Amino acid sequence: MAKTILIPTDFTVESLNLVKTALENNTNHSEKLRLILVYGQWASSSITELLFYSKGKVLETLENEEFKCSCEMLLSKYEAIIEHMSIDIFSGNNQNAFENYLEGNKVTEAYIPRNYKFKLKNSNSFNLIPFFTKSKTTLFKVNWHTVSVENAESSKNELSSLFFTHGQVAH
Amino acid sequence: MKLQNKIIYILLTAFIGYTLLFSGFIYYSISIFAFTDFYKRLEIRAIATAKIELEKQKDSNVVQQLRQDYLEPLANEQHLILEDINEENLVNDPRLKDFNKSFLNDVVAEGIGTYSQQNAFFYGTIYKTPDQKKHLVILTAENYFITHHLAYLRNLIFTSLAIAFLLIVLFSIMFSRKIIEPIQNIIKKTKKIGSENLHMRLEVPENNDSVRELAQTFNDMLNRLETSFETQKNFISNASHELNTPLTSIIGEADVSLSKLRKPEEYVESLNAILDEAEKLQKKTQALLLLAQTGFDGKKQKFGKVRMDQLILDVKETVEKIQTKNKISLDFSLLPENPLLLKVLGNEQLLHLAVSNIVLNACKYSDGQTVNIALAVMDGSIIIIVKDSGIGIPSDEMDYIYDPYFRASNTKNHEGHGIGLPLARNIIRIHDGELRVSSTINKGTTVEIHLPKGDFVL
Repeated sequence: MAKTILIPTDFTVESLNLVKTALENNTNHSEKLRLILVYGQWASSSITELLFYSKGKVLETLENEEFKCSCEMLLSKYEAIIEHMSIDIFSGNNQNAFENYLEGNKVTEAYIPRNYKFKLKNSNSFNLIPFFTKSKTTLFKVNWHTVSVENAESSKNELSSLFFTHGQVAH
Repeated sequence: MKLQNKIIYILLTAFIGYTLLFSGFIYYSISIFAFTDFYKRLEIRAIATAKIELEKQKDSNVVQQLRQDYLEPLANEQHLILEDINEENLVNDPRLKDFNKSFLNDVVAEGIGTYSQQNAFFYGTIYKTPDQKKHLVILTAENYFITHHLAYLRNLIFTSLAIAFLLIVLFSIMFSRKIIEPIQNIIKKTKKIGSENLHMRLEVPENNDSVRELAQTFNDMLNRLETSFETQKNFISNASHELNTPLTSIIGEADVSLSKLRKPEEYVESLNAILDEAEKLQKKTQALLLLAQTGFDGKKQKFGKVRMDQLILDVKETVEKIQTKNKISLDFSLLPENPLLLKVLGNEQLLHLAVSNIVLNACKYSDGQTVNIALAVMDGSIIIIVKDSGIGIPSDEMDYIYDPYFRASNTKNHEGHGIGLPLARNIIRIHDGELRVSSTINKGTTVEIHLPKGDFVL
């Protein structure tokens, strides 16, 4: 059976370092991996907006070119072990909903960053990390530090922020 | 002929032709139908009249009744009955002189004859009564339907044709404008581009059609033009200026040494200085030559398979020989497992030159700090990222970094000629690639080289 890994994302290239570390951590296993990148955003409360709600469209507005490029890079590198990689939006608002989400997607592992702070894209978004820390799933905390001097806010989205980093699972 | 008019004419002919054919067919079939239908009506009336007039029996009253009740009288209906006729002599009968001869012949030969004269329609038949006597029955009437309804139909068709014509003209003008507009935009933009603003590019439309292709082709052409323009523009003046500096010091040095007799050590010293300057001069001329060679000069460079990871390792080796104080770290963590994805169709020497120029620049301007090189593959393209933490480039000078001989204002403490980056860009362009530079002053510079993947198979 394939292993499913849940990873929070904020659609910056830098946050994909989590994916990179998670994949590096699993290269030796024979089983294939299913990856779910998840982003927390509440659904609208307006009935008309909900009527025409499309996850694909919402994701399209959140993703940017560099993020997509980086995803492709990761896919081409790890195509042998990735069975499927998808990006999803979690819109539940309590711990039970999150547990249900984990169960529904048969999540076996989750990776969260230790020293990276997620940037929220808009006012409807919320931080998923508290849900992760409280959940009962196997949790790995990842530390990565960039080699270059400091990372300005603007460079979070450069393709280079996926490189020159040393991510490791904290114990 | 203008393309717009051509489109209008073609559309007009096609549409009008179609409408004409269509309405002509309708008119024709309706009138044919009207004729046959009217002769049928005449036939019924002729037979009914003959029955009433010739068979003086009791059921002729019934027929008369039926006729009055169900057959409406036609306009100008008249009938003529000749009783007990002799068929051979019929045509010359004086009572029939008003009728067409061939019509009468038809009636005699086939038993039925029809013809029409202006608005009057004639139907003639030979009617046999039960006592075997033959009678000629001719019924005449005016066809109200043909005289009025058909005329109305004709008018209707003509007016609708006129309206359709107007609509089609309007439609085809709008259509041709819509088609022509993007092309005209391209023409307008292209006219604006001259030798002094070659950096301008056409807008590439969103939708994927031939106009987009056209704009892209123009932009590609402009890229090539700009590259060769830049290499040649001011080439002589810049080159002579660059070459003049070491030449002046050589001449000055020699002049001073020759002004009086000196000790041998002094001669050695000045000759060394001259040698130094001459070597600089040689380096500059070599760089110039390279720059000139890599411009699009019509000569095709030899292209082959180049493996990018190997190339980067080679570059690292070369650069480490030249710049000893810098550390170069490679990040191959996202290298794909399939080696085919790493191969580029290109010229190895040129690509080596381009990448090593960029890495050398990174080393030169980062004062001994580590320079990072990463290689990754994305759907269809290969990306080399060179990142340093050096002095960076001032943001207002970013536009000029590809100008030959341009040196940013913060590079005074570093030696250079301002040829490396334009040279690298020319080479990347030859390979249909793209060079992206982003930089923050005093933080560092990141250069991304995007190269298209060669379509190789194992």
